Amino acid sequence: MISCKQCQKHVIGYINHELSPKLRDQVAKHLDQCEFCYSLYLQHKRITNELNRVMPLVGNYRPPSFERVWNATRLDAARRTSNYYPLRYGMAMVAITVLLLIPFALGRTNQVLADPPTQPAPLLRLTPNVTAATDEGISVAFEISQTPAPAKMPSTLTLNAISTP
Amino acid sequence: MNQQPDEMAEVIHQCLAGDQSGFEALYALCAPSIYRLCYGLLMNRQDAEDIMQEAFVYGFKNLHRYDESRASFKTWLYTIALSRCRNLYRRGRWWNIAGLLSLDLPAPHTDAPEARLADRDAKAAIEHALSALSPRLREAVVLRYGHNLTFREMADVIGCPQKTAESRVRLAHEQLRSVLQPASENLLDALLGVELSS
Repeated sequence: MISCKQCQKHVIGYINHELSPKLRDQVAKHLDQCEFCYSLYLQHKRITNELNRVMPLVGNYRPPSFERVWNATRLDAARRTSNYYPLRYGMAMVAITVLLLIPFALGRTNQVLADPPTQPAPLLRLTPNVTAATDEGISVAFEISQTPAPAKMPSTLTLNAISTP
Repeated sequence: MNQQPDEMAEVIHQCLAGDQSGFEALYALCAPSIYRLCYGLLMNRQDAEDIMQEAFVYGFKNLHRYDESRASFKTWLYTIALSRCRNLYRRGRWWNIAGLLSLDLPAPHTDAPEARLADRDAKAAIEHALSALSPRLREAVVLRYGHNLTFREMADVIGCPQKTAESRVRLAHEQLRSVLQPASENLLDALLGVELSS
């Protein structure tokens, strides 16, 4: 047999004939044997009957005329149309504000993309060699050699320019 | 929700074709029940009229969005009206008017004067009891007993699982039982309760 709690849970469904045949049978058996649940059942049944009788009368007045609602509909349609363009301007202003705020929002985050590379690029050294000197000038050959990368990038790079007379 | 689906569908097609008489027919079909729903939830005629008008304005303007494969038209319209009523609860206006001013509401249309008097007393008692319920429980009672919705339909309108709709009706019963019960039965219950517990 089901418990009192289960019976009370299903008693309204029992009154309204909305339980499965098996559950209905279980509730009926419980109500036959439990005086307390049976008294609750009678009270719920009385309330259900009363509500079924009276509730359809609640608010049983004449609703507003169709003309009133129809006029309101037309007014609403006209108002919505005139409000369409200001809405678009408002949306545009919101979009612009968001775009303006993006740099401020990004500025508060850690910029990892701006860090220097961990392995500096190797340097090339140019070594000039004077191969021939004539009255018109000198001929110079440059020897290019690669030096190992420094631990830290040099802040300035100096070039020993060789000027010709 | 007892309208013939064919009749309703035909009227809706008329409306979608832009025929004003279709809107009028749709209003005639649905307005009484929507008005009763709004009144049952708000317990105030002026608010019920305003909310019903809002619901119909929205329904007429958005009729093209109604999908008959998802729900019946009345369920759709009930959902709109219910959401408008909930907006009014949030504003708290209904409580001030119904609770503080205690408006004297006219009697419904019935035949015999005796029956009218008895019905008015019963209706006043029920309205008083309903106003003591929380909005969620009142919704459940109004939809269930005022509009004969099944629990499944109630769940669609309220937007909750079917079990929740059932439990709300049960909770409302529990609360109405204490409000509607005559004083003599309350006393008897109290005595029985003492006797059972001892």
